[in-house]
Amino acid sequence: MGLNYELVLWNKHKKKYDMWIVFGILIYLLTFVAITLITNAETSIETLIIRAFGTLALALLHVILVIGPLARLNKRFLPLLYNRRHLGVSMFLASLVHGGFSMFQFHALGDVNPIYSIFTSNLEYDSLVDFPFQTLGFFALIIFFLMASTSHDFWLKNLSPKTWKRLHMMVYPAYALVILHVFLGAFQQQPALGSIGLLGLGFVFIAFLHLYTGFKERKVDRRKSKVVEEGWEFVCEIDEIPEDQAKIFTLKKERIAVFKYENRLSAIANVCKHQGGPLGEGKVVDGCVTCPWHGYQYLPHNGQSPPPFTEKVATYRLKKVGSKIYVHQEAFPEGTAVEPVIL
Amino acid sequence: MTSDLRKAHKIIWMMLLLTVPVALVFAVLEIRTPVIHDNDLVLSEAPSGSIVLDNESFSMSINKVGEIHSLQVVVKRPLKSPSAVIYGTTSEENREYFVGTIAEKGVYDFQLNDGTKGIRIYDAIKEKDIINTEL
Repeated sequence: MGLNYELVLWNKHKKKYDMWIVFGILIYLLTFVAITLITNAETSIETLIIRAFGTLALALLHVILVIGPLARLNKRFLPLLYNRRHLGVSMFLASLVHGGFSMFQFHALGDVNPIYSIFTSNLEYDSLVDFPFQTLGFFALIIFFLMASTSHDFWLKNLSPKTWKRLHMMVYPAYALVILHVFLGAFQQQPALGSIGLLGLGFVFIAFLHLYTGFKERKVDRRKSKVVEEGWEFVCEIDEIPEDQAKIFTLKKERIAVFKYENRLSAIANVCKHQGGPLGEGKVVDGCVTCPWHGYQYLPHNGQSPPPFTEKVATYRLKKVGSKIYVHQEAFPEGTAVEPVIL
Repeated sequence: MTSDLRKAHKIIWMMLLLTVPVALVFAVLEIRTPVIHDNDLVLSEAPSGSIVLDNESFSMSINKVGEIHSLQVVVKRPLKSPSAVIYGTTSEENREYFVGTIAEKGVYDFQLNDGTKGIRIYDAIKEKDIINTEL
């Protein structure tokens, strides 16, 4: 969370994480080059670059796509989610090298515009085996470019979180384009059972992981309070909420988070204004609810980010009857102060 | 995430899981044989007919079906010539006729004229023979 925009908001953790990314990429590239030189020494440098960076981007894309659902299933993956943006930009750069060299190698030496050539050099759009697969990779690269270039919080703020999120969900169709690009391109020219199996299994694994997480979340959304009286819904017993943490509760299809802190109870909307992170899975740190995804903070009693920040979430009224906690169904406007329930 | 976003995620992945594997299966079924690897061309079966030439880069064989002769050329390794044209030479005053062209690794089949006594693969750009062999 930063007040002013900086090109990269470095901190100790991000630097360490980025060093691991660079280290991993270098190890991958060196290993790929070594294996290629041993098994096929006649490979040209252009082909080697195209293949090394293409497979690197593919591997990084798979890692990126598993981080989200894994972080939903196990909190130990949250640090990866916190740093995922840099991995995404790295994946785009690897894709760009792959796409750029491919375009230069196969389309730049003629007398037509290379981009025009990608779409017109092979017109067998009605064939599966001879399909101009490079067009699929081209569209995926455009999506990755849009995502990488708008990955900064400046764009998140100015595009609005809703638009930004929709734009970045384009990674899913882009992933499908990349898979088809490989199956209709590289695998048609040089099919290898191991590679085909690996990529096919990778797709199935990622799809199942996302759907499994999605259906697991649906169970939470469908939980309904057994007691509803005059707009008040029973949430839980006080003891069910750990200190400085929250109980997530679904109210009218949307989730709220009831926090216990400093012998008080407050309820706010569960969705972080930054990237939609689950506030109820975060903790109260220095008196502020802290989003587990990127550390955005809100004051529990009014849902406002501490000054000078301006983010706000909706708040809810709570009441305590004996050891039972109830929440009122109607949300207050974002940032409205609500007197906490004293325990 | 809001419930709408969660729903959108689920719908996207269900659609991908239903459509992408179908496309992948069709793509795999369409893979051409013989399978071409980086190093050499691997044939699923041996070249048919009588072998005229067989080295690291090429294999040539002649087939006769009825009265028709056909030439099968297998390019095992990438050609180092930008242009490769096959000519047949006949016994009539050593006249040559155009048979066809070859490019990347693969198996090529051509029909030969009667009385063909030799095959020449010629690089028209470098103006030199790649192969010149008698049948």
